[in-house]
Amino acid sequence: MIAGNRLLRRLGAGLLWLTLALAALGMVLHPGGGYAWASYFDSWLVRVIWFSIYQALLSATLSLLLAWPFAWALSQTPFRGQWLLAAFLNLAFILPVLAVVLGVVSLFGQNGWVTLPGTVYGLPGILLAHVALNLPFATRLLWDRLSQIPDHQKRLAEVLGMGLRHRLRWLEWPLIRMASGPVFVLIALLCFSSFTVILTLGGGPANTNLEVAVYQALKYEFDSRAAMLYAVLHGALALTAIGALGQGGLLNMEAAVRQPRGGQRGPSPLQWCAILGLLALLLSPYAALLDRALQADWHWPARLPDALRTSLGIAVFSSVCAVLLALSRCLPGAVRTRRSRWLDFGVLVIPAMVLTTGLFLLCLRLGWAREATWPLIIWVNALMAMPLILQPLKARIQAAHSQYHRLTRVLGMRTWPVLRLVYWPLVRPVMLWALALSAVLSLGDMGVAALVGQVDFVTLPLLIYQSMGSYQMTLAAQMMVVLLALCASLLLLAEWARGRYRAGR
Amino acid sequence: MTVFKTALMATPMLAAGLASADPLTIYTYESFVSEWGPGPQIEKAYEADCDCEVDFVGLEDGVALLNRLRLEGEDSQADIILGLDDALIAETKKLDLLAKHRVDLSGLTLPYDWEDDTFVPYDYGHFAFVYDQTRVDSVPSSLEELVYDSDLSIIYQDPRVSTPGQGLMLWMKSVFGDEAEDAWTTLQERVVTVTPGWSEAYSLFQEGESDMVLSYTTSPAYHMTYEDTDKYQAAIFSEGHYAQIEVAAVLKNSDQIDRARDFLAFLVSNPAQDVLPGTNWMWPVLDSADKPEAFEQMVRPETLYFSSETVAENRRDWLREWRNAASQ
Repeated sequence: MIAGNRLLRRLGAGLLWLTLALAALGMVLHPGGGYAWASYFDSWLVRVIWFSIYQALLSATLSLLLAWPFAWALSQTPFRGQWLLAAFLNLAFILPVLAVVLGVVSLFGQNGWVTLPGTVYGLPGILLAHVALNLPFATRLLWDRLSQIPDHQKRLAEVLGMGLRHRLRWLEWPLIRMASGPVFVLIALLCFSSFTVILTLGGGPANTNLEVAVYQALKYEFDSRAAMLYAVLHGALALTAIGALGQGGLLNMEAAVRQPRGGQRGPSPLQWCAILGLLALLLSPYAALLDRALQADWHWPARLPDALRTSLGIAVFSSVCAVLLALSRCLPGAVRTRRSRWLDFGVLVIPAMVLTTGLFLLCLRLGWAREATWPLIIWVNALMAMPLILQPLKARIQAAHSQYHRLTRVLGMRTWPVLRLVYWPLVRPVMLWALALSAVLSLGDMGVAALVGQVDFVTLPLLIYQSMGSYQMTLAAQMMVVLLALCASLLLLAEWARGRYRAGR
Repeated sequence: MTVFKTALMATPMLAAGLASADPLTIYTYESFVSEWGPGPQIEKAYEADCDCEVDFVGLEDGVALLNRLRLEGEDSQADIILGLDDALIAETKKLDLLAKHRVDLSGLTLPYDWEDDTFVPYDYGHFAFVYDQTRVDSVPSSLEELVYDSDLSIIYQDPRVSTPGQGLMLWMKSVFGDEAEDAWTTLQERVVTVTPGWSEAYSLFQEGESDMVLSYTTSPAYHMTYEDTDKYQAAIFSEGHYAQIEVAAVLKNSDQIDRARDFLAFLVSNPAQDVLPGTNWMWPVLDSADKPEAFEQMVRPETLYFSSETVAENRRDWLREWRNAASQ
């Protein structure tokens, strides 16, 4: 048992270190062929950095401002079935980014439901998509924070006869303000590292962020030195932003997301307004997308089966990798050294595209670019999913460990029976859930596949992007419906597994 | 099929039992392979001729082909690369990935004296801004007027990926020289969007997103032939128009180099040349090729061009100049 544990643990940590080291090596060894260093520091680079930061700050501000009233209304009293809304808000964070992009285009584009004064391409589209992606996230986090006001404080406020204004001023506002800082930085960071949204909605060289610049340097100009430079700048800026938040702050954020306690009563009228408003806001892009998809007969492109096969293949492998990796990070008996904490932290904050760029440059240098496509995409997708499934797995394993560890020792059980009879039945439901979740994340990924994929490599999101690129929006919307249906069935499977897990508890 | 095969290469356990004769793989740009482009007809004609399989792989646009070739190097799956233009040949040759074509090119018509032992020219054209004359009345008569003295909105293609976009960059450079950056900055104010490829730009224009789009002097012939309308016109500029010769070449690492050469010879013979004007809407290099009637009304403008050596030497600086101006 112990020996097996140690092996898996060391393997996991070793692979993570190796990934970081190889990515760094790729950056150093990049295939070269670039130009004089000074020639990269021009007004365009300044513009790109400026735009990366500017749009991120703007997106985060808008998301937060919109989230405040919703979170405030929802947190007034716990209501029956609020877990359902919470689950829905979490869902928005997992679904393919490209779906939101297409939704925004279907909603605000040329033939959309709402016509913008200008074009949706450019900053307006980018902001709309970022808000659609992050509003649920922000609402969820703030709601959670506000629900933590102790009941006795609320009762005290009632006894003191505090009106709405005073309660807001003395009780809720301080909490909102405190929670908003980290949420703001987190969302700004996510938007700073945004790739799919900016690539698809940017509409020209004026709206480019560092991550898209990396992609363009590799794909448009085949300038690996430029790609390396932009990726390093991107990573450095992201790390600086994390420094501003502080490591502790980030960890607090993780801990903050808990399943909210449900109430006995149904939602109040105010809460109904908030719920319906939120649902209308968040579902409208998907509704517009569906409407767009239904506008024409379903006509599948010849490459769809290939794309589906590739996407599913990658999702299967990467979800297995993600779960194994997560397991290796949370086996019992692991000593939480400072180094291992840094490792988890590093994987969490270094933008996936920076890692991908480093690894891809290394493969280019070694002449493996074509062969490395599948392994690279699978691995980076697994790395991206790992932090999201780590906590629930860890909690489950530790519970099993503390409950049964002594018993199995007393009984003198051997490794295999302990695994099979004790751990497996307890961990299985969470593991199924983790597998499904990682598969959904991998199915929706476009950035890594776009950067690494060769000419004839096509996943479902890439195929959708290509039809968007030729402005075949209806076709893109139809294929997106297929992708969303796939994700939905996987998530239902995950929920079913979780339900069994709850029932079994 | 190729997609599937390549995907499987990385997962050998699934690949067992899959084998077939290699098709002739041709990397080209997207509009060439679209259902209304020349690809399908040329593929059919050649396949009937050679009893083999031709597999077109469509990339965003012409310049993307060069980048792809750089990326794949000697491992490229392509046998032929089709759709680079005359401006890029010096830079492409430097990669040392191509074989000589051994095709007799003496009878071909081209916009300027041009000869090469690696690249086979298959059609040519002159870049031009196309507009809808029912919507636009004050049409500029020179590039200078379009840039400095017009309020028409335009869409053009990204010169980093697209040969028309690159053509505009070279056109601007040949007209404005050292003042090109200033011209770009001025023009930028009326640019609706910069697209990755020609197809995207043209379809956006047709949806009414801009007054003008960068295309070719021969583009109106398409609308005359298929839509029976002359409302789309190419603006003729007094400085002359930048020319583009589209070329194809064989990769030296191809495992069917003779067949690939045979395809290039086919490309400049009548069966293929007859297809090109009415599908790619460019001038054929064979005078005797069939052309849609509308081609008779097409203006043949003054030709501007840089040697591909000059382009190779300056392309990056000119791209940076454009990028800096276009992102402000």
